[in-house]
Amino acid sequence: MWEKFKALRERLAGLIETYEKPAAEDATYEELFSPEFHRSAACREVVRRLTPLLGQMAFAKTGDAGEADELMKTLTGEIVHQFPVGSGDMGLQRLAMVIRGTLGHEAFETGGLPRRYYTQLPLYYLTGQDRRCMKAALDRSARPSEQGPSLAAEIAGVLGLDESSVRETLRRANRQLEDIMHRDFDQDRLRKITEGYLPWERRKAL
Amino acid sequence: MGKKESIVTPQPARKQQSRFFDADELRDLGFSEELIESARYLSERGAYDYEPPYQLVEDTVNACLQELESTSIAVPVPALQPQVMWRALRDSHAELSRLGRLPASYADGLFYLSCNVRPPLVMVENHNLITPAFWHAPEFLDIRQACRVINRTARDFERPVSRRVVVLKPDLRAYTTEEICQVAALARDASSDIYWISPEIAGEFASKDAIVVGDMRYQCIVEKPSSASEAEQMLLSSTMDDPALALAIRTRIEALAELAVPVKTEGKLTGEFQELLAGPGPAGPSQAIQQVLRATAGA
Repeated sequence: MWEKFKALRERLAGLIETYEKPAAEDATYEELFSPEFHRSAACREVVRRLTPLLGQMAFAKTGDAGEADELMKTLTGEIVHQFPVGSGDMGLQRLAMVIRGTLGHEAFETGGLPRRYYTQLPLYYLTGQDRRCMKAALDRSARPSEQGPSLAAEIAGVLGLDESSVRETLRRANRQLEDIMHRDFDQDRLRKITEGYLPWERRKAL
Repeated sequence: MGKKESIVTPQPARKQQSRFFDADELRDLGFSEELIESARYLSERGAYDYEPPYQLVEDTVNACLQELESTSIAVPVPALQPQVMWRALRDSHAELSRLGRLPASYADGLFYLSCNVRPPLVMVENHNLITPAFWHAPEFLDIRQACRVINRTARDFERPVSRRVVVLKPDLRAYTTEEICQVAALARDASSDIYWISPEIAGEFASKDAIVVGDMRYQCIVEKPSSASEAEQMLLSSTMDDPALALAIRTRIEALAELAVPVKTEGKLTGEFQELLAGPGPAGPSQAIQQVLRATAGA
């Protein structure tokens, strides 16, 4: 009887925990790096989010698809092995160390890439369509071809939306991203956890 | 075994593309100049035409997670029994505590090295602030002993030793003959890895002495102390226990070491430094300093 009660209590505790935690794809980075989040789920989600940017960094460094593939394999292995479980808002900075260790400092530091990397942090404070559009735009950042459809049209096709609503959403999401950086974070803390790369100066309202 | 959870959304087959970067469109969509800068850089490198190997990434994640689950521990374990590890850490910790307040503040480096494959201490030693003679004063001898204890433990645990980047004076003529001999002796006797660099390319560390203990503590000297004991006080009073700051400075010091010339690694003087720093006279060390200043000045 007692054993049954214990098993039921554990099951209920598990259910409550699952209920309270956000789904991995909606979690902020701080939540993914918290000790409460299951390591493998957090790890898969972080790799999923970072793969496009890391791929671009790897290619920018090597200039060769085969070499970039190899580098991606090494990077992924390093990230999983050194995944900073429990480091909360320090998680991205710790992963930045791992990435620098594999790509080299120069490959990480040039071309404004650290800012792009740390933008991941406020990005996951956006929700719903705003975040999906922003993530898709940041991962692509260029239109399919010079004569081809615009970036917004491409994202609209991928997400099943219409082009004008994607444009509207991206303009709003970009404003929100700056609001989040300047309003939702303690500024000193944000500077520290992003090595001083965030926040960037707020633009004047048009 | 159950079906593995997919970490990526299905991607179209890899194909040749030639994506076009349009800064005006990004501006129109509200992107900041900061994000446009990185997009421009990646575009110029053709990085947007590259499709990451999603399947390879997913396979790697699965393989690594499986490996970690089977070993059930995330950090690489040294080839020591836990009891032996514990005793070694406890004894080293006690040794540091006996050396005084400043060496004791480096004890976190011991715990850091037990869980990380990185140097327990990373330091910038600046000859423009700390004259080499200070290292023979009792306060600094204790620091050297603390480094020895930590590095000995690191070697026992099969971990990298501490890393010291020495920012040289801008000109060889700024050193006295005695100082040149002291610099060589310090490199010979060091238990840490040593790197030398010219202040010209040391950036923020051109006028700063800094030490990061593990991923927690940061100490620095920004003004020239008049004595070793004043330097010790400066280090103690600057102590900040802040993981974000410590990690950021650690990263910058490691970047500095990449720019610098390795003088001693894995316990041995490197290449021609073996010969140049071996003798008792100032001729070899002078040549070594001169070479590093030439190699790294304005590099």
